[in-house]
Amino acid sequence: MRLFHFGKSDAPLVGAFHPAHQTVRSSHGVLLCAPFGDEAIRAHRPMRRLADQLALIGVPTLRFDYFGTGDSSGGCEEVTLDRWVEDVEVAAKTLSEMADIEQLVLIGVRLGATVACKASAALSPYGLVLWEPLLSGSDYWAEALEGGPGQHRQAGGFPVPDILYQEVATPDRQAMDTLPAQKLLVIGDEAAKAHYVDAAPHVIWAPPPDSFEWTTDDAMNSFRVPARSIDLIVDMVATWRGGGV
Amino acid sequence: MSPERILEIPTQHDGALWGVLSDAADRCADHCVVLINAGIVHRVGPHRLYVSLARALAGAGIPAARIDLSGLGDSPVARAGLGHEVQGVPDIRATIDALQAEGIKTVTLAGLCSGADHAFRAAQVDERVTGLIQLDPYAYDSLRARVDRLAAKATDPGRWRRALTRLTATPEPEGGDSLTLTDRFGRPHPPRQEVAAGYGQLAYRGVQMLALYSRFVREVMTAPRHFWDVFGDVDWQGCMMVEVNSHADHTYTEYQGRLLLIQQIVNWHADWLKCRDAAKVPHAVGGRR
Repeated sequence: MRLFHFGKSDAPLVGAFHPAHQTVRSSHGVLLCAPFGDEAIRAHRPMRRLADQLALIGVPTLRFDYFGTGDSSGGCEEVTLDRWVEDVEVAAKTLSEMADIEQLVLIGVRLGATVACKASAALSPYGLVLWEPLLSGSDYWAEALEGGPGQHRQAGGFPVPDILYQEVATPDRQAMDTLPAQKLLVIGDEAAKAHYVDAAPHVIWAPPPDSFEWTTDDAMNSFRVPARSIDLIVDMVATWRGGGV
Repeated sequence: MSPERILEIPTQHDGALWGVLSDAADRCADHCVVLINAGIVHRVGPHRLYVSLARALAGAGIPAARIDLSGLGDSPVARAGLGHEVQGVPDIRATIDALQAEGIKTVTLAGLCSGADHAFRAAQVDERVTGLIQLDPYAYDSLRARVDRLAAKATDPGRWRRALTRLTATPEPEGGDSLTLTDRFGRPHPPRQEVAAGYGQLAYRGVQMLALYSRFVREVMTAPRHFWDVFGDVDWQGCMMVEVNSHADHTYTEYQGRLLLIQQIVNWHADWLKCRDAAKVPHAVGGRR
């Protein structure tokens, strides 16, 4: 694994590239799309573990921080969903250059699943994994937002700019429902199953296999990771690239 | 924004530590702040606090590096098997070694919670450490704090009402109100005398220190005077500044409060190093020493 800067020189992003460990390298590469705010911080360890395991089975994997998040340039107040979609496109190009891949798999977690869906329109990934995706942006904000009327919007200690609020609250239904990927895996509850499988019968659905809520504060302060979900995704990507783990 | 560089820090074990250096376009000294993981949160810090703080410091002319200790964030687990508490010291010293290659001669170690503890331990064994910033460091109860708590309770009508309610209610099992700082996060506190000796040693060396407490420690400390009472046997030599940010929770979740914290730290540090850019820090918050 190595950390590096990429993207625009005046607004660089930080990525973590996990090269394929095996001599028989896969033609598939995976790009991870992180969630937002505190969920992104909680997801750091699981996403690193997922990337490590994918690299171990020969699949080069790139994690990265969107503009205004993590180590990447930009302030928390500057983030927009459209900018993150552009970042995913830049990251996919970077992964392709670094690992010489032919097939892209996008894995999006929570709000990152929304970003991955929107980016799919331009990237046409071979595979798409939506890990506990949001089904309703307004429900997401209703649960995540803190503070009362008249106060600045904030979620989990992160400011929520008006543009981001609007983009998430009113998602692009076409991007969410028309998923131009040959292979689709959705890990989510029954509502997610109804939402995605009913819309596209070729979607593979699985309920979250871990017995604890990995997106909670308690999970952030422990070393526990959603290992079963990670194993499920690694197995699925291994199947998609035409070989077992 | 100040330029940032990825740090790949060689260690004595197999893997390198990873970090990011927010460099100052025009350094005001050959000095760098090193931000150490808070709990197991990776180098960006809780709510991205360390990123914002590092960039604000760099903007004031003070480079700042945020690093992942062994086994945290993107850094691999050390095979030495020393345990996380012990391993933190060689990790931090390796970081200072690497920063020397960047032209840095002295450092301030900074961290929140366990990051404050790592910083405290490493500061005692490495004389290149000339500054220490601790967010919610060890807190101990004191007679004055107990008196203050009693006084606050006595003048709070709500407490009298609740006391009356409790008197007429079924008693709770014993021990239900015995939550302590150590219990809450399982964070071990060394004996007070040991911490006092450590602070005394740092003060003797002239290490400049800033301790900032949040309301997280309100059970034992609600005002700087409680700290001075607890460590009344330390000869501080004017090296320690203590503040209690009673508006803030442990990780400074509230965004505006976090910005105030960052200004507080940048002002303190820029004032100490006499950085010419100190006055440029926006919305400066005064800090008293």
